[in-house]
Amino acid sequence: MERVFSQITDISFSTNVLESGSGVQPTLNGLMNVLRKDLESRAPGFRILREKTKCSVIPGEFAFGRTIRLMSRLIRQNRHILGIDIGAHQTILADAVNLALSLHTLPLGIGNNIGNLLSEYTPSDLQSWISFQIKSAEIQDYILNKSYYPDLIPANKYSAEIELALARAIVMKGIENESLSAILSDGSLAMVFLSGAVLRNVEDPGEALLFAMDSLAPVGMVDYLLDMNGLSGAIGTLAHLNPVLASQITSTSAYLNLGKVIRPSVRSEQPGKSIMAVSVRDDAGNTRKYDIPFNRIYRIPLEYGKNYELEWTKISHNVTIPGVKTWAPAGFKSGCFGLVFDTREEKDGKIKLPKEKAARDKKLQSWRTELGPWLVKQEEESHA
Amino acid sequence: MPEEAVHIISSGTVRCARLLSEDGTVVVFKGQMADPTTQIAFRKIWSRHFSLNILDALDLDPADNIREFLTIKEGDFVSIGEQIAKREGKRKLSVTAKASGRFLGISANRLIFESDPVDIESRDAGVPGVVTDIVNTRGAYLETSGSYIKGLWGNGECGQGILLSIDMEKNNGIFDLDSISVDLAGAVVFANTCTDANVLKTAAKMTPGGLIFGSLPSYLLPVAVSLPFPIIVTDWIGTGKISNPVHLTLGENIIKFAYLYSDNSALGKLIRPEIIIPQDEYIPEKENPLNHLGIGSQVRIIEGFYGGELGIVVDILPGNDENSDNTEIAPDQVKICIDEETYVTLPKNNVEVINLKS
Repeated sequence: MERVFSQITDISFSTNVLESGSGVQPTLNGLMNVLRKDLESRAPGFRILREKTKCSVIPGEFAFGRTIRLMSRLIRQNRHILGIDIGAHQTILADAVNLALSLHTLPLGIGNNIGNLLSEYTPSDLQSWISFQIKSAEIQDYILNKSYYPDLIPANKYSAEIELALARAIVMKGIENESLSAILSDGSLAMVFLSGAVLRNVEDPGEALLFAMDSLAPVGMVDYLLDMNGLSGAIGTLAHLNPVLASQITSTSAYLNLGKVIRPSVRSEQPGKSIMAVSVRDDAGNTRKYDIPFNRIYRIPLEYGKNYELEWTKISHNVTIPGVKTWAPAGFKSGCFGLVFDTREEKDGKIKLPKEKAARDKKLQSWRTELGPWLVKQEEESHA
Repeated sequence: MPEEAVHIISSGTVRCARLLSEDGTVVVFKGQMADPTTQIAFRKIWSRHFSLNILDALDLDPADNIREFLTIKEGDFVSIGEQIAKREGKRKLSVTAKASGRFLGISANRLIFESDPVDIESRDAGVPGVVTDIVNTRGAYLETSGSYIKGLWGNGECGQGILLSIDMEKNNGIFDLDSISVDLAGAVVFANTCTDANVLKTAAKMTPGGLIFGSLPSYLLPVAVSLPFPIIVTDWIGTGKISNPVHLTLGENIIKFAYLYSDNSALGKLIRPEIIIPQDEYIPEKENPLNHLGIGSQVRIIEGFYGGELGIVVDILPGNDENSDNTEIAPDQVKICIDEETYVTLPKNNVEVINLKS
């Protein structure tokens, strides 16, 4: 059969994954070889580049997965890190725990493949996360134009908001399809890593943070990182050649630490009523106390990069924070949004939105105001 | 991959790519004059594979090398009844093909064939021009002189007609029921936009050569796809005016013959539609005196088992017509040599002369 088929196509051989003890790694390497051969046959320049640099060529998905796998070593044991890379063609969801990686790709992106969204959602469904009046036909027009002009960059706040709303829909679909909702509800998620031009090119990084909080809504205490410079793919490729260097880059401030978001699980409560009280102590020993209200985003602005200690002074009986030891103080380094409490109501693991369009628009705008802009002056902090 | 930079040529050399999305068969030559209907390339998939045991038929031992007894080579097309293997000696034995197909090779002492081709992609010229470059296994580039606009969206239809415009001063240049008249029949008409599905459906009754819009709302695209004539959107999905460069280029070519080319057959790959307005009047290649069919003419077989193959006419066999005494009407036929061993006889109308431009 090899002789017959070798006349009509290229054949690559790999270990049989069904053989016991063979593992998937040799097969993955075999698959990467096939992809590399295909790439080099379509673009011979890659072969010349590979031969001259003596480097390996690996697909972007694998490189991103490697970055997330590497980062899983930098967080606490048995805690998950979820990487989200929203590309033009596809969206990658990489879940890693204790160096074990689970990579999922979704054929939906914010570029050439954005048109596929219309087969997954109706335009009226996609309206949910847009906070201004827009017809569903206009959303459909936007999606189609973006698929024909995939390099378009949102040039005003309306276009940017539409794209982030579409990105939310993509990630929610990915979480649902790949059964990742368990790590979002059991408190085992420690870090979310955000990548992709749609999140990088935002006017304020708060848009990216709000996007992740809306679309994932993970309970527990989660750190959010943003790949502001699009480095994750390059670092993943580098990890293959020089893992030490990749590790050193990752532990610097190459990625923007957006902050720590705490999302409790609340059984039932009146909106606005205090559900817990916390105190935050800085390096100098100054302590401030905060009452955390229900059903809103409550931000405690802190100085970026400084060490703080969080102490739980009171927690209502109907509130739990999965994965968090509330009896002990937690030390942390502040991100650019400080400490954020997301106590918004949820339904079936998703943030609950008002059904009526006007009320929904108002709610979306209020959440954005509650999170606030990236840079908050210290004077404003006392009023928060 | 970035889009090609040139989207509008107001006047000059127009170069159009006619490429398959994946490897297939190219059926034109460099220098060939192409009609709008000339097939440039096609892609087929062989839907059936079967194997043939010739050991018993030739009374061979399994240890024998069956390759020595074959009369065909790997890759050869084989017709029903054609000899595929023979054994010389005191007892002459032969094997003939029971079905048409392509011989792939030998596996486990059995001959492997593939058959039943299904067309999955085809590229036609869509515009009169000269084939200037061949891209191996993918297609060719055509060139002509005139105006060219690469659009944004097309409904997958091709067509042509005299280029006309609606009154752009009236109703903001929107194509509405008032724009539909007998003048639309066979013409290519451009307008800013259209906002009503019923208008498009009504326009179809006048059998236009095509419609060009600067923009079209997304909710009208499914309607446009269902219509039998070409519709091309040049600038934007939505509602708005046609852009100035497109308007100027089309305006300068009013009452010239325009060709609309739109092809959506490559699944998952975006092919931008094209509007081509040749400078010179087009004379169909069939009416070209250079294209006289005679012995020695190079021809392309249009369809059938040998569809797409090229050959040389070696004989012309006159048929009979209605006035003859024969009860059956037989059309003129031509005998074509495809290669040294392959001759086929086909109706004259099933072949087209390949005219190479010097």
